[in-house]
Amino acid sequence: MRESLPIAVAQLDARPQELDGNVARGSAAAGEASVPLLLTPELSLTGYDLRDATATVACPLAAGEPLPGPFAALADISGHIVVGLVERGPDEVPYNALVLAERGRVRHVQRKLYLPTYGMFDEGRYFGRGERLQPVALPNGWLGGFLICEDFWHPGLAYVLAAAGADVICVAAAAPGRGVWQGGEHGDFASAEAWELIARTTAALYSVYVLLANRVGVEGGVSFAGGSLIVGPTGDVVARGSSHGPALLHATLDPAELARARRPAHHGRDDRPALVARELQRLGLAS
Amino acid sequence: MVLLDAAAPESGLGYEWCAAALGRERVLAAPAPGAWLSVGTASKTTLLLASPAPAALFPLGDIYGSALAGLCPPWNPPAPIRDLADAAGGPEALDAALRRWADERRPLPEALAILPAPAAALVRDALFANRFARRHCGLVPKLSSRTPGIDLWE
Repeated sequence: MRESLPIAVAQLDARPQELDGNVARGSAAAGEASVPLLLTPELSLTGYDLRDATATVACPLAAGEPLPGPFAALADISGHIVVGLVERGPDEVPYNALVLAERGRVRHVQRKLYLPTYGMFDEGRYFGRGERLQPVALPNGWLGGFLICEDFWHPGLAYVLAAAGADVICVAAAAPGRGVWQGGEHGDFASAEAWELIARTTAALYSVYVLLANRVGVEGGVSFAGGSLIVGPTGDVVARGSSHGPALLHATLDPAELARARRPAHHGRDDRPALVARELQRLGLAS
Repeated sequence: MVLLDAAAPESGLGYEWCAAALGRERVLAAPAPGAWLSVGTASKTTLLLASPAPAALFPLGDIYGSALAGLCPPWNPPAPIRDLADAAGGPEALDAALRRWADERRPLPEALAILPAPAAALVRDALFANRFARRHCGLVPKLSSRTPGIDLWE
């Protein structure tokens, strides 16, 4: 049974390889937000442009165990926090990962499934691909799904989470800003418009809350676009971060709002994942 | 940081960028004892079509020359760029064609089709001649959808 859940989205900067400083930023945001659930951006604890340092900052993770090394400082946080870091898998492969942590202990790990390796992105060179998507129990009876940046641009993943019953999809991103000359409706970058379109469409299609934490700051000439969002289950934007500078967005996940969004249309009730799976198989698209 | 070509009109904008990012005391007009990074004032037009003097940082390198001229007139291109712009019908026409190729990702013949045929040939040759230099240019802060040194690898 869901109960109202105060949440926050922290739009943070991060410095590559400066683990202590990044942890301090996350801890400070959690202290200021003072909510049961806080979402931070992709690789919020390690920085993004790691390249060959990926293996250096990677750490092993195990459900129920304390976060290792400098990340153990997150034990001082009273609520749940979703942080981005590099997991060193049992196979010694580094994974771009989101970790749901409670009092410094690992509650859930979601690896990034789609690694952008085109244009300015080179993640396939440094990270292994995740192979599984699993919603996880959040405080107050909510069921959440986690996606990392590029994963949000593959709508099948949001579909899987929605079909599995997720009420809220948490997206952690390190999306660069593009198109300063065109500008955006709500900020400096035209590129933020696409993210908002995807977030609002996802929320409206599946009647779920969408939380998007995109980072800010500059690495290697690239400005990260900010523009974090909280989108309600009807597709309306509840809160929006600016395109520059850290920010803290607040909202309360409301079960009554969720129920209203899922009436009178019953897309969720009538959806048939088995049909989708069968047709993908029949068309030779799914082994 | 040492600003190359401090006399150029756009050097003022380059100086302000560096000063805002790093502090005025770190931006010099000439090399001084000790370590320093060179800063070039080349525009995106120049980085695409010519080989400017090497520099570690091109803070204006994702701004087309015609736009840069609007920010800090007068238009001050290197001689080869001026010749290409004259053939194209002006700096705006030249940059419009480059924008079609670099930012809109149109195939090169389609991108240059808006230029007079002789100008299109000259621009095509200049792009080809400078393809290695623009892959290894210095750090360019990203503003557009494709930026030399970051995600423009043709």
